[in-house]
Amino acid sequence: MITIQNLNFSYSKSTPLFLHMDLTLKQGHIYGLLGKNGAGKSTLLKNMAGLVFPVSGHVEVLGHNPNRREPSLLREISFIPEEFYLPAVKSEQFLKANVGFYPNFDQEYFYRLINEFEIPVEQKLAEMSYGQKKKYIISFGLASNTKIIIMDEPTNGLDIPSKAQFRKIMASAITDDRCVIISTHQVRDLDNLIDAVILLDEHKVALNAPINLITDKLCFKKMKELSFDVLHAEEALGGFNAILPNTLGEDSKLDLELLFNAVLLQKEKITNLIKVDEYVKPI
Amino acid sequence: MSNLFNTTRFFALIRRQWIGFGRIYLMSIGVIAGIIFCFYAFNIGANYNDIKNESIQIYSVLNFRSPLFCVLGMFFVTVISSSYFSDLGSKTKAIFELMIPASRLEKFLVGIFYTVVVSISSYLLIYYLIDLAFVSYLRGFGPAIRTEVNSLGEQVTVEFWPYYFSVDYPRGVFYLCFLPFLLNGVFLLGGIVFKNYQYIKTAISLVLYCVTWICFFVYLMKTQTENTVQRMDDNYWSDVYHIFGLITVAGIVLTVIFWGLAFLRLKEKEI
Repeated sequence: MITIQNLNFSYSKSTPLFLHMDLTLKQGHIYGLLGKNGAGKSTLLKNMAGLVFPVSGHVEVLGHNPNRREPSLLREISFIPEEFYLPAVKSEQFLKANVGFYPNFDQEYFYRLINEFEIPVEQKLAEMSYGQKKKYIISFGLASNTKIIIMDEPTNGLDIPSKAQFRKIMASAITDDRCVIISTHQVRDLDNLIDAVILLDEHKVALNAPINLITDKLCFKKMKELSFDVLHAEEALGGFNAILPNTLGEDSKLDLELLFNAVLLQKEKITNLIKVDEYVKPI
Repeated sequence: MSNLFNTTRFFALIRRQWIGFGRIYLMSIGVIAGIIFCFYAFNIGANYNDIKNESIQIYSVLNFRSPLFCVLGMFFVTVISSSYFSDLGSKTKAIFELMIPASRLEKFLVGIFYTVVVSISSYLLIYYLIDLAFVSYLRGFGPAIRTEVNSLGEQVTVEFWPYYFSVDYPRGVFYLCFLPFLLNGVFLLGGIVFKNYQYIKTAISLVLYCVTWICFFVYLMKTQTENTVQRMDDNYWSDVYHIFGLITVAGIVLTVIFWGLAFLRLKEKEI
């Protein structure tokens, strides 16, 4: 669905952001895009949406080059940015002006989402709170029924009940022909939502793997004392949260924060264990 | 559905852009109408007694019309042109503008539609209506057409309160009709290129550019004509209208170049 090959990108010549980056995203998945501040999460999303142009390399989205900004591709992409602007009009007027561009827009679904998020649609969009605006554009993006949904920090500004609603709605929104990419540094918000993780580090994709593959290869455990085979551990209340090779085929719940830190500190060790050519490029 | 141009999408985009642009446009046209109205009202009000007494000097009351029409018109067209794509300078607004599923050509043509077709025609209409109202009022004071004897002793018919758009202007004026389009091209480009204060930055750039060229030409002419005498002959460029024609052609070419540059910069716009 999205293929990135040998992508080189930089905002200035002296500081490259991506160097020879390769990445493949498939339909039917919700990807969580993680990385340190400045790792290029938002920029990667913008490259996919054609909002910035690579220095060199190839980005292909649904068979199109996003840089051409062709309407046939744009109507299949919902881009929900971290910072956004909504005009000082009522929802009805906003819909009238924009719905026509998205042939698969589902008004009924949109109003269902609006009700679920408890957004006051009679109010002008510009007068809504930041969280309400965010929920409004998430609803609009989902109701557009596009094949690709790109979300940059979607849970920023949402209150606790809204975050739970968001997870529920996103889980129900994924279909076999859709691909959702969610960038965030609030990893807890992605718990039980994403089914694949992309981790950016040092100008490249450090990890791109489905969660079931990660938990097949790695075991996430709480331990009182560290054993010799621990790959990475962090002190926690009453012991350690640790990652071990899953030699016994144990079931464990992925701890995104722990995995994130582990990959940053011991990239080679972790990624070589998870390595499946289809998903993870060897380092 | 074509990725280059589609009529349905084009008209949908015209409707959509009205939400953001309509507010600026209506406010601007309201201000412009107010200024024109005030000029007429002030000039007529200040000379009301003379007009009533049909004093012969009062026919200069409407002499402000040409400078007002030109200056205000240029100001209106440049403000509208500069503000149309100014949203692209703001990251939060630009993402939605660039991601809307319409082709780059459609987005540009809608820009031309609003900043050229809508703005210029509405300006002409507003000016025409206000002039029509005030001049009709003035014509109510007495006969607008009179027969007078000119300095050669011939009898001529003079229209004292002509409507602005019915006046016979010198032929040279029409050679400058490209100016609003050229300024539109320049300010559209400025609106896309500059991230903020688009109008001021474009205006300053334009002034600096013009001053540089004027200085260059004055210097060139001075060095070329120093210690020479003027000779009148009958070559092609002796006719002032041929020179006006050349200026018009250069203006049209420049307008197309600036529109082309604006389109290319819109295509390449990054956030």
